[in-house]
Amino acid sequence: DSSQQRPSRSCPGPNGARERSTTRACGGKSGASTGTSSPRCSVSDRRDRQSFPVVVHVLTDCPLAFSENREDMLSPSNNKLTEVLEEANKLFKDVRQAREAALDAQLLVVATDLGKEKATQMFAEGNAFNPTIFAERLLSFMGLNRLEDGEDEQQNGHAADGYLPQDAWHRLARRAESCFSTAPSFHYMIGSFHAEPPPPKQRTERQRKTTSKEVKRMMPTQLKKMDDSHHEATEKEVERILGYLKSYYQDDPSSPISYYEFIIDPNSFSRTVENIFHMSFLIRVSLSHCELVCPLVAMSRSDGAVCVDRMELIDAFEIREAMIQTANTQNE
Amino acid sequence: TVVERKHPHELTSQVQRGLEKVSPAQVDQKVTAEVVQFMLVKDQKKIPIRRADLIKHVVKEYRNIYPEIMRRAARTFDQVFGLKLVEIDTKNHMYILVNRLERAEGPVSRSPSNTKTGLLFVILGVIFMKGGVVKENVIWSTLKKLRVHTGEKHDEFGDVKKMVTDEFVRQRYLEYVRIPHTEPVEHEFRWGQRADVEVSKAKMLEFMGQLYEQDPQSWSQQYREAHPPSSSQAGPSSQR
Repeated sequence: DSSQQRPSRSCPGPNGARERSTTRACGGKSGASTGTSSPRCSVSDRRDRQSFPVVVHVLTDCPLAFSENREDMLSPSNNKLTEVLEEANKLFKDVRQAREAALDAQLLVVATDLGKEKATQMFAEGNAFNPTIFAERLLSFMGLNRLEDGEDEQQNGHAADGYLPQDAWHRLARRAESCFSTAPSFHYMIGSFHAEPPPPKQRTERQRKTTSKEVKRMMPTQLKKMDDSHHEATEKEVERILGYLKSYYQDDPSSPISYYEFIIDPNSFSRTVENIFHMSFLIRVSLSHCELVCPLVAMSRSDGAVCVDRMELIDAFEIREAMIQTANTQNE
Repeated sequence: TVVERKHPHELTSQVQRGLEKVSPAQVDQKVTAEVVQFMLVKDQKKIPIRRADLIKHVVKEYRNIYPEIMRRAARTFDQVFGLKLVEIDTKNHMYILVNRLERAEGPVSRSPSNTKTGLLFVILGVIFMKGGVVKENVIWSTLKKLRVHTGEKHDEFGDVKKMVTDEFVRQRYLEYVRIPHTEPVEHEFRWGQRADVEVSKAKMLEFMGQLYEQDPQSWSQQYREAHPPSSSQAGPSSQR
């Protein structure tokens, strides 16, 4: 606050000068303010500082005096506030400058504030309400046990005598509720969406992200495997059949191997078809050092249609056993 | 805001013209289903509801018939919920809901009591008994005697200073105003607009009488304030 700093700058020796002047100024008047520094002190100061505008000194000093002697000014046993205001009124006649008028206004603000506070005191005087006694009464109501010392309070170092029960504030609230006509707060019976949407959203997002990532990661590998395994399986089968063909050929290189005898599995149609399929690869890549004798095919070719009954062929060639063992049985 | 500037007569006719364009069913839908629900949910936090929010989130394109909507909402609150819709701040247009029904007498074990009510009673009680204005130090020292220390985390209230100077102020139970020309800065407490509407001074004085084991009438000044000659209870505060 600038009003408090200003006087300290303008007064060289504040305390000494003021007390001297106070006694001089107050001499003629009532003895109410003897001894203490009064705002009126500055009236006499003008004699010492004639080069400065009179009112400025008075007014600048006054707020300082106010804050220092606030309690003194408020005391109901004196009329200091009135005296100061009267003094200021007298001085206001000499006010010529805007700065002085502003100070006067400031003085009035402070004086009004003090006056209001003084009025509040008067109001309470009839039956002064003491918050300390109020607190004591409340503690009793809240179930304070004055015999037992609360262990917690002692540990915390609070100067607390007596032990306040856990439900103390609930006890007070239950009784105090009768003074309040508070609207009961509204809640949905089944509950509503909580007013905090971010957490669940994040959770679902996270889950989705991770799953989609996994799928992405899984897909290519799966496809590759399928591709690979299929390709490899065919290749392996072809090689396996070539192995059989070679071994049969080595057993008896002079006689050719009957195509049908070779490929037909008398116990399984599907195996037969598979064998034909794999055999076709061997023919395509012209691994023709194995000569194929197949009169029936030639015959059917002349017909222009391939209609071969597996069962008839089995009978015709008297196939009892598959020449190409299935991969599984071979493993066993 | 356009509505405000019009002459009262013009205003009502404008509302009527607006109503003609909308079907009654539409208005009822707006009123019952949306404004009422919005206010009920908003009231959970006990912070006054601003007209601006109502218009922005609910009323929207029906703003030209806003007075009619509020009138119907107030009727619904009154007749269906037993609540009173009060505009506590006619300048900034803020609303609160107050219980219109008498509290059941006797020890009714209802939902668990809110301890904040106890804290509010202490603060409002001191302000009332001290004549309407109290310096903050008086409140803090009173609370300290009740084992509630500002600057320490309280088991029941947590950060008490924040609750009192922020939450209670935003809910308009309290006014927390800086005292001019004080060094260091000091504040004072007054009753807020919600307290004026929601808290019964007569019942408060009754409780005081119980605490002090004396007749409430012995606080003559407060008794007169709590029982004004014209039975009209002090409405929205006219102090400001």
